[in-house]
Amino acid sequence: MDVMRRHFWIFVFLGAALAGAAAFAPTAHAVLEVDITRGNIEPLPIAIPGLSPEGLTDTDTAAGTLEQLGAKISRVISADLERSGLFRPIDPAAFIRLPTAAEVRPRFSNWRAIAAQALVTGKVSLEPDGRARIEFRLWDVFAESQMTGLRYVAPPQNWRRVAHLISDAIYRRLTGEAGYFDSRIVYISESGPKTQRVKRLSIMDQDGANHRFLTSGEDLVLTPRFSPSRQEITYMAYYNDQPRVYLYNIDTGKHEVLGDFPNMTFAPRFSPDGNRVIMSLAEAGNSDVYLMDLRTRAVRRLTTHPGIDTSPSFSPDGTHIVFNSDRGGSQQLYVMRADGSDIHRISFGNGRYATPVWSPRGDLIAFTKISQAKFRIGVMRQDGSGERLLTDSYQDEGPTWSPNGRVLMYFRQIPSDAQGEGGSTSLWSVDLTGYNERPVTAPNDASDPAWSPLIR
Amino acid sequence: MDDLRLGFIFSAVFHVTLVAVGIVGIPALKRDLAPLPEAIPVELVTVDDINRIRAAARRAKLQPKPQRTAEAPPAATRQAPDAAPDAVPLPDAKPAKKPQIKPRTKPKIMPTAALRSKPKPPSSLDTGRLAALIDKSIRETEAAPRAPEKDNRKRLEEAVRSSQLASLGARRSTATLEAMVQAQVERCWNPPAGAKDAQDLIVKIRIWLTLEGKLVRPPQILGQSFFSSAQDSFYRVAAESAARAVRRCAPYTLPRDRYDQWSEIDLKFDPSQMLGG
Repeated sequence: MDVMRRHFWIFVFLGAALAGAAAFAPTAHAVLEVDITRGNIEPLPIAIPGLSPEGLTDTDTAAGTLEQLGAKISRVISADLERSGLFRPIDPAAFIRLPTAAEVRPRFSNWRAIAAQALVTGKVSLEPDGRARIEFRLWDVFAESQMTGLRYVAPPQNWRRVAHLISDAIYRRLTGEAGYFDSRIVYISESGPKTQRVKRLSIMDQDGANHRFLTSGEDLVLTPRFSPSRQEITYMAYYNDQPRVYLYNIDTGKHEVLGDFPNMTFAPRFSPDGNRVIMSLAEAGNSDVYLMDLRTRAVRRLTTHPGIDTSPSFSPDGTHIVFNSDRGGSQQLYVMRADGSDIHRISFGNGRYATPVWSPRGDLIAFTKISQAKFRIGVMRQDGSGERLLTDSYQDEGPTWSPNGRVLMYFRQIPSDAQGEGGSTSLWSVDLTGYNERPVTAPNDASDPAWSPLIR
Repeated sequence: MDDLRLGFIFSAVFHVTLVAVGIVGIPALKRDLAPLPEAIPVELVTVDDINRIRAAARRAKLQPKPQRTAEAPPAATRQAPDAAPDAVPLPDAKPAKKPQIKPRTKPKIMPTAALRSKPKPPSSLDTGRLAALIDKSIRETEAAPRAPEKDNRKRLEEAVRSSQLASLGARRSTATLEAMVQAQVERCWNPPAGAKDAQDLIVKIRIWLTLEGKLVRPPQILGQSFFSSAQDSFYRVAAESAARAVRRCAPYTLPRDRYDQWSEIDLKFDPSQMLGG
């Protein structure tokens, strides 16, 4: 009996052991592990059919019929995304079937068939008060799920802004980073012959639309800079042959002189909070960096070296300032704390470095590098490491960052030939990869661009 | 007697546990000991792949052009210097302040997510068919391995005599399988470029496959908790790009006789080699 019992228990335990082993075995079997380290760095294919009109499709709005409005908005979104270099809008001619306003979920198989990875659908309708109601949805074609969806209500004539806001929302959702499409550019528009150049302060949307001149062209204007926090610009203008720093509010149209400095003032730039302006002042052939509080107008001197210190730019957290100086013998980049202490050189490559600008994202400093008889745009980290040149033309200079720190705009000069023909100055943009370099449309010759923060 | 029995029970439990650990533990140990070979995947890059990548690059280069010309016409209207007064004047940027436009100019943003979309993903996915796939996979896993198992055992027995050769062969075969998966997934992966510290965005995804190489269920993203909140949106984008790649490439073509090795795969998407520096 005992023996049998003992055997019984042995069997029970052996059985349990086997069952346990069987239960464990599947989870313990090696899951195949594969490292995916290579992919295709190419723009994401995205389908952006025209937003569908809802209700009476031929209803006239202040900006065309609803159908036209929907088509215009999607064209601007397409153009925005395409210019970023990160997306490849698919040619609408390839679309198998257009979505309708009544459709809640797209037929994903139709979009997979044309290799779209993302899809934007949307509707335009008219509110009783005459405003347009514009909504869109962004879909992951392969996961068959909605990634984001927003609705905007705005006067129909503001459709461009809504389109840029939608582009920003799509960009943010698909890259994880804020967009930059709802922003503007101020720059110097140049016209007339070389001897009598008319330079006017001008402004336009980031895509070149809504162009407008802000000054008449009587005074020479230079180096406009946007406030990182407000729709405000500083710039330099020669008045009675004296350069002065001005402040211009875009919303109110008010110009004011920042201060009557007895000496030459150069290269004004805002602090990240928009309350101070940093610039250089020249005195007896020596220029140093100064900081001015816009509310109290108190001025503080930050550098006191006999070398030429100029082009200061704040880090986005306001703790450091990058500037250029020839104190070491040639023009190089230096970083100091915001109070002027701890000055150290960061650029050590061959050639000279000018116009440093700190990225709004904080990770990089852009500059103009002068070497091998060329002016090129480059970036480096704040300790001077990782220097990369992004452009390679004859003369590119004056970089300005997009609000998200992913694109740089600058101006390119093409020299005139022996007969004095063909010379031009134009705006260009390039992204951080260096591959996506494009001209920016402007009516005349253009220089000295400055990118605004997002309008909001 | 009772003491004796109790002692025996404890001893039995102890031994059974030991045996269980032995059974379960050894494969795990083996896995650690055999590091995944790195060089072999190179063999699998075929001329086909290269051509395809080149073609894609060419396409990418060619594509933007028509888009740009399409965008060109507005330039003409932009030329008009008097565009400013009519076309959305700049101060509209802060529309709330402008009297002529209703105080609500600033577009209202309301998430419409899921409000109207009444997502019916399960129905569109056809659960019936999915269930059939799952069933099939189970049936086939049950049926398939039985026969090869014997072969394997025979082969193993042979190999035991020269254990060195055996381990080499096993390693090579997983490496080949790995390379096959790699080649198929990499073709479809567009890693998110340009994000801040994009090279650190490593995503691990587990997928379950049917014998036909189709996905049994949505890919599962593993262990994402250690990312800081600032990197969350970047991580989500990276994870989505990985999941998209996995879906785009399905179904996978892998050797059916080794289904037990690839029915479940962990993929580690690591963009550091492409984006670093």
